[in-house]
Amino acid sequence: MDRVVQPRTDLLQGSLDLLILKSLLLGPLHGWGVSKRIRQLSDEVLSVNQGSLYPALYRLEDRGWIDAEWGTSPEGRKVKVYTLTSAGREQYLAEQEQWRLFSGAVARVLAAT
Amino acid sequence: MPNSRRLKRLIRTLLRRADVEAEMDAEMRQHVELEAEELVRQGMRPDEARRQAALAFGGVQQRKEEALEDSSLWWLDGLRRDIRIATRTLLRHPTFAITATLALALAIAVNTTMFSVLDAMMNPRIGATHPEQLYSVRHFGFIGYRLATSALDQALESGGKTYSAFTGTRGYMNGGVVERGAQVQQADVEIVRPNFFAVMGVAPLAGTLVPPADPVAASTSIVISDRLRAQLFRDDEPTLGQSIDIDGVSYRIIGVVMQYAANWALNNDIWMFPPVGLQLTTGLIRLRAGVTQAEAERELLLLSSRIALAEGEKTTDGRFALHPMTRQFQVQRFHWALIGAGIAVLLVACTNLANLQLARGIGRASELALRSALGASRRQIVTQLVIESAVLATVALMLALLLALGGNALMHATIPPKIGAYVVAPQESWRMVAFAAITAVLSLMIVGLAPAIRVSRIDLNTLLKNRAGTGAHRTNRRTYGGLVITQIALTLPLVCAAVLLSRSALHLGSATHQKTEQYGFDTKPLIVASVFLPPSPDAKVPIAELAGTLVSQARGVPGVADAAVSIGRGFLASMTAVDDADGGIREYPARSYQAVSPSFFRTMGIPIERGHDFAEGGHATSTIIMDRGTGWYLWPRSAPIGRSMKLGNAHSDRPWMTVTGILGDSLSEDARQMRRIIDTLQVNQVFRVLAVTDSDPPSRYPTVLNLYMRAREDPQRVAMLARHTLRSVATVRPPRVATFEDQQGIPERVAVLRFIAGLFTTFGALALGLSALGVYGIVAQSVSDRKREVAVRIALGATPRNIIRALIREGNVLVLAGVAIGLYMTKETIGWLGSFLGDVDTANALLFGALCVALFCAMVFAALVPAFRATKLDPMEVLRAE
Repeated sequence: MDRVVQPRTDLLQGSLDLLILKSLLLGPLHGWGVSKRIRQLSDEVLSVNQGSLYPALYRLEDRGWIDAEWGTSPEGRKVKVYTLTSAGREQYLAEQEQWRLFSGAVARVLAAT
Repeated sequence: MPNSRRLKRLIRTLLRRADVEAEMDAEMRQHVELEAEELVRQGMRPDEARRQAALAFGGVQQRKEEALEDSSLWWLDGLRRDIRIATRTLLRHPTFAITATLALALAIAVNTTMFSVLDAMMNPRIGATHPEQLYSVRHFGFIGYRLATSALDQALESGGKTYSAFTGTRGYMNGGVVERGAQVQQADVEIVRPNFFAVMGVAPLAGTLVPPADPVAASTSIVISDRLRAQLFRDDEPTLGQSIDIDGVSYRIIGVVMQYAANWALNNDIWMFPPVGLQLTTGLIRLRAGVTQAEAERELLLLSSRIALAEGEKTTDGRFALHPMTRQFQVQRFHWALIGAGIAVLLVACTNLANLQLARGIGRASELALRSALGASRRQIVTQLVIESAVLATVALMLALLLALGGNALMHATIPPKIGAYVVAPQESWRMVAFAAITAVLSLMIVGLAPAIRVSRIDLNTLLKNRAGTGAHRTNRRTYGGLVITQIALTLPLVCAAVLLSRSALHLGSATHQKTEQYGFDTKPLIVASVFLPPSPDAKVPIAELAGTLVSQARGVPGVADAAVSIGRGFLASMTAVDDADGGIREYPARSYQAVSPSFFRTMGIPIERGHDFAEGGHATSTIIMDRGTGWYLWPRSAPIGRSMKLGNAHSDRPWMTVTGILGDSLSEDARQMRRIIDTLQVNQVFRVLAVTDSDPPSRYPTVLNLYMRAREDPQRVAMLARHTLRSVATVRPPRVATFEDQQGIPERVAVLRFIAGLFTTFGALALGLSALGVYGIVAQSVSDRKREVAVRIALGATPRNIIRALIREGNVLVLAGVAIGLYMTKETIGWLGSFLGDVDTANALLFGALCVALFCAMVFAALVPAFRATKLDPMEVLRAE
């Protein structure tokens, strides 16, 4: 299990929202699907702390960035499917820009000799 | 959008929490299952995969709570839980919960109803469109007197830039006597222009409010109020097109309109439309939308100047003054008394509950200390206690609103008609609900917050001391003490006001009051007919002859014992000349005297104290009868009988007349003493007999004669018979006949006073009941706190009397202190009730003493009940329980 990176909680707050929004940008998913997509997209590097996933999903739903609806999965299960709203799309773009600024700045600091 | 989504979620979480949790549960369990399936696909054994997935996820319950806690609704959930706990705690003490809720609800309801009354006065809902645009208009200035009112009216009628319409009204005497079949009653009548209702913007309940265009038909058409309709017609009877008689003249009802006590123009029973040529006295205008009073007054000032200019007067001579129709009420001291009474009841209820909460809180100190020991912060403990009070206050608020609606209905049903200047029927509005809610919040602060903070300060040490019975309760008892004093101090003025007003109402309504305190003769059997003699523009009006005819007609009415006419006359040059004992002549200012039929005093039942009555038939024109006070005033040093006086100044050609009689009265000694001061300062009542030569100068106006009759039987019935008999007399219009008391408005005054007395009795009774309840509660709590001490005393041989004395001794001092402060407050505020107290002595030491003793006894009794119960304690049981 050494590939699992346990992100620090303060970092998680901001980045988890961004990761969830990004994964839903590619299409509607249920909760487990979101965590799986994040894992896949990060080449199994990032694994969402499962305890934080649902509070984050509910929070994003509260803010109106994602919509949730009960539907049926291709396997015939009753699942709660999350979709990105247009407000969520805008929020994603804003957060993405911020993340770029932040990570670029961190990279520049680390690159300094 | 996000907010509405959050709100939806919030409501859903609050109302269907189980559903929300079940959904979360399903979602999270599925997550674990999907994760397990994934692990199986990666080659793990199913049971191991499930275990791993569950481990990775953590407990579903824990995650659920985290999710809920993380959401913005977490505090709400906490509140919900606190409310649940508070409700459960309260339900465990149902007696306390019910008593507290009821007391608070009653106090809030009383205040809310009083608020609705004041609200109805300050913001009257008068069924007129945009009532705020309606203003009454009056002209001030010399020119107004010189010009006919119609000239001013015409000037206003043409309309202006600032106002859109003008109309006018005029009062109709002192109300009219309405007759329909066998029903007879007094009614308020207003004469209004045909466009009155259109300008007011009032809609009819039935029929039309616009009189027919034909002036003759219009002058016999009337609009009546819903109140009069209910009094005269059965529910299933048609009203429109029916005729009723007003002072003997028949009018046709064309419409019914709602009567509003809060507006003088609409607070009537009948609206008549004036015959051609009748001047109206009060103007009403409707301002255009958005125009202010000042703007309208500016325009009217210009108008007034133009009129003055046209008449050759100074332009500054006069002005029109506007007064908003919606603001006809002046807040009087009486209203402060009403507000004060309501607040006092509320304060009594609140201090009471604060007391009980404090006592309960202290009683629950061990529970609270335990919570504190388990880590609850002081804030959490205060919150819990406040929430308990908030639950109480919320239930009380709901109940209070229901009670207030009931109170409003009761006031609507019982409010007498002629009370408009002081109180009107309450009206329901959002303001009433807001007021009740604010009152509940304020009460909550007193009832909940203060004791909660006080209780939360208790430390473990004090608690242990309490347990040991070392008297640490003394501090707490001091706090209770202050509250008890406040309650009693607030209650006493209310009880005194209630008793004084009730006394005043009883006095005024008593059979002998008018006879012994007011008029000095028995008013009950008297009937008054106002007879309108036709105008006689060319010849003198032979009054004496007409009076004779009227008297003999009246005597012919079955049930009439005697009759007499009285006409007001003026002293010449407003002076009277009298001869002095030493032969000189002195002059005194004097205004008017009465010329009466010789039978006048017999008819009125006024005794002749000295001298003799007028001789019947003789028309003794040279004799005078006067009241005692006038006699004293004119001849302070000698007896008036046999003295001479002129009904004019010394140089006038009026003949000298001889005083032959002094009137007596049946006033009580007290009333006579009171009168003496006023009555001996001027010429009051002087009578002479109507002479054959008495006549009125030619006049365009009808002469009014007052015909008095003394009934042998039921005066109302005799009045009706007289009304029919006197119709045949050649008069302008049928005479107006009413019993003397109806004419003087006595029954209405009694009704008003009874109502006000009823209001204050309600306040007084509530305050007294609540105070007694408070004292009971405190002593009961004290007994339960000192159970151990009492048990030890009993075990050591204390008699029940010792126990009771020990328990209520402190209370007595408190009650006495409260009574003292209460007496002072009564003295300061009782005057606010002003004229309602009538001739009741507001400094009657005996009465106040009795009231204080009664209040003291009530409080002691309230304290005795639990104290007596304490004497029945079984020491063995109590001590074993410790």
